[in-house]
Amino acid sequence: MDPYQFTKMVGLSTGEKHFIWGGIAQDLRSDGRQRLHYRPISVETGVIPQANGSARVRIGATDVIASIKAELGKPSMHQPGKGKISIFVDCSPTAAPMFEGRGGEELSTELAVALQRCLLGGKSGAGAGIDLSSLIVTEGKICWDLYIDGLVVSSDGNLLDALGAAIKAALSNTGIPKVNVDLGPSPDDQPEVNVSDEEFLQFDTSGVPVIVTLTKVGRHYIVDATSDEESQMSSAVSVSVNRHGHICGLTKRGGAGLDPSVIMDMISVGKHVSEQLITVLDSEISAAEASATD
Amino acid sequence: MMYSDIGRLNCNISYTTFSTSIRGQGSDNKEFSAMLHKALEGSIILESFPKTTVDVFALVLESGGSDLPVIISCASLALADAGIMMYDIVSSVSVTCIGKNLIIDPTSEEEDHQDASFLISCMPSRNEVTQLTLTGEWTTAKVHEAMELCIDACSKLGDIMRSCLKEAASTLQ
Amino acid sequence: MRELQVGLNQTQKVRLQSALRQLEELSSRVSNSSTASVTVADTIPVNLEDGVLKGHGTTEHNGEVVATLCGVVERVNKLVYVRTLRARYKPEIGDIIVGRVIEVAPKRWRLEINFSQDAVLMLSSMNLPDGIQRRRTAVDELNMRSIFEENNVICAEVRGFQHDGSLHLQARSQKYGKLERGQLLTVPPYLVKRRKQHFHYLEQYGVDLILGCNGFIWVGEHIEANEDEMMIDNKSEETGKPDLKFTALEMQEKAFTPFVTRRNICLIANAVRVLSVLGFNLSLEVIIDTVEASSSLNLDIKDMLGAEFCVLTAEREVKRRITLIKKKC
Repeated sequence: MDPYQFTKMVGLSTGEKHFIWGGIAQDLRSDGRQRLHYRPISVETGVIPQANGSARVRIGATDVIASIKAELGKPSMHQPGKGKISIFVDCSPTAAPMFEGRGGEELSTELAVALQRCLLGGKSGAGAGIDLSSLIVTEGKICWDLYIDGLVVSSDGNLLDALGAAIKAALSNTGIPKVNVDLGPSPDDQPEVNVSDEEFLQFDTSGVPVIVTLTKVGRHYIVDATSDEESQMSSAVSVSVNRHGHICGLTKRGGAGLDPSVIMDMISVGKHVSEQLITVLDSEISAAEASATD
Repeated sequence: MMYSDIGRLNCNISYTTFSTSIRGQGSDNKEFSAMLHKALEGSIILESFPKTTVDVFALVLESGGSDLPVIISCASLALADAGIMMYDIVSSVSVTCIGKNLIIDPTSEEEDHQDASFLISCMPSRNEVTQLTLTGEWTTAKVHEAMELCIDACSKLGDIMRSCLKEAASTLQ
Repeated sequence: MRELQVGLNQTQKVRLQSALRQLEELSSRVSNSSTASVTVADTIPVNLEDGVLKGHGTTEHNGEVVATLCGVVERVNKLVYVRTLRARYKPEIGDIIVGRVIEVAPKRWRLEINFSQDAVLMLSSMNLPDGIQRRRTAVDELNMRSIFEENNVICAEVRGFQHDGSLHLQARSQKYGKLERGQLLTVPPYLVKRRKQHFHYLEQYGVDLILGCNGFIWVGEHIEANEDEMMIDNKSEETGKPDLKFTALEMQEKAFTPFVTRRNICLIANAVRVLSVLGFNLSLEVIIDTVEASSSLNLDIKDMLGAEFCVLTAEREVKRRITLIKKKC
């Protein structure tokens, strides 16, 4: 079952649907935006003191929080030189009535999978937004396990882009404690670990991509769709793009098929939009960091 | 279940315990099931059977790489065989990128060492892409190359699937 | 203050805070001591010897009148009650409301109107499209969906409460009925004050604005209320269906709201959004004033939802209220 069919339950009358379609065709959407305009984005960092890093991103009425926790763990057998990252998403029942009970679960998993695909790169770790080898403490023995949790507080469409932005902001807010390891005399000994609570290592977040979702309604596609607009979509393509303009992941949702040339077109538009989004996010994140240290 | 004036599609993928080299290590089939659903739903004319559910169950007997594309193509064949109204059959192909090389239809070992992956499922006769996922870092030129390679492969695979269905139909008659 | 969805920079924050402080001072100057705000379990000072009627949101505890709601204490002669600020809509007879049909039931439609229960519009309490007064037949009942379907946005009037406590509506005039070609906004109901006029035809913009007392606000293309109305409705319904067929798409594009009107609809809708974010009462004058302010600044429509315009609107409201007070003096 398509989790997005829940969003289709948002009842709109034929007249309102027609109005939305017309707005997208005439390049003037219901809130005055053009097809490739985002709603105002606001970023707040350090919202959860318990976490190693956190951020809250609001895009219009969509409100999400990302928190990052780091725990010491053991690297996997296959990749002894790398740390681990897991991404989870939770949809709060307060965000929308359909998230009550188990309703939000499927959407949560879909969002988590899409985020993993967009941020974590290929199986070998190449092209990942976060360099997994920077999470290693002692090769084959100790590494950092990074738990990224996204929480949807309020939902008005475009959750994936918002979560991607929140994770990017949270990562730049994350400090990983410095660790001193005393390896025992023999390799089988359990190493002694000292976690510093004063010194922190900042993450290099320059490689973290942003996610741009293009939603196709009628013959046109739009960015940053509200839930009303999402209820009218035939399909949507989410592209994650990094600072170099390289594509780091892509997912398509919605049932309708797309012509390959349309997809290529959407990718290039997504790339173009991502440049602006990266600039906006960067300035918002640095402003948020500055106000957080005040 | 709630009333629906269009049909529903329900997909489920499971792995046998002996399908992988280490026993009981099938991939995350919940995620796969969702992907299968998305790949197929665009091809089925769901309006043609309201208040009805179509269940697609896929059981992977032996996993040797490119599991999902094979499952998708196979499920589409099964749907056609079951007499479900469809716009077109869905053929699916995946490509793995190792270093600078694109490898089509990768094996498990190749998948384990992949730097980037590309999966496409499309309806060859209508030239429409129903599902597309991409991981790892890609340049636009590379995406173009992979896309062309896959679309070509999909249409070839589609032809084989088509002749297969025809053969089956002729033996029945 | 309600949390704003926009990111304010430092100077904007300071400006907004000072504007809001001024507004607070102004309102405390205007109102007298009787409008004290209370929270749950606060004692409401009353003179028990005069005899007090305890109204909504109050109870008696140890010989004192105690509030059971958060809000403002209102006194009418002997009656003391608490008026809540942020709650669901409380209907009063004669209110004009905008609602959404959620169910077509036998002889009635059920509507969501932001009340604690669904409102009911009986088939018999509305004028039929042919305009003839007669008994409703079984055929009429079968054709109910041709009047209103599920999810339709409609406008009606509160008729009153039935014996069983359900809320009934009526739509006995051409001005009531289905609303199409526009957008529905929802704001907290207390922002819409009851007035003589809730239907507004903004001629210079070609836009209909309906301020429903329940906080549902309709901004849409102007439609002449006449006999042809139903025919227009039927036509737009045919083309309005989001059909994926190409020819239908082209047909549809011809039927879309004209660009200029759409611009105006978006302008007015965004003015309402800004005002409701700031928590200002929505009256026609203030809305038009906000729209004009944005056009005089040559703002892009979408920038009306940005931080700067939000602060500007707050500052303009301060000025407006100061002039109002001066006029009174």
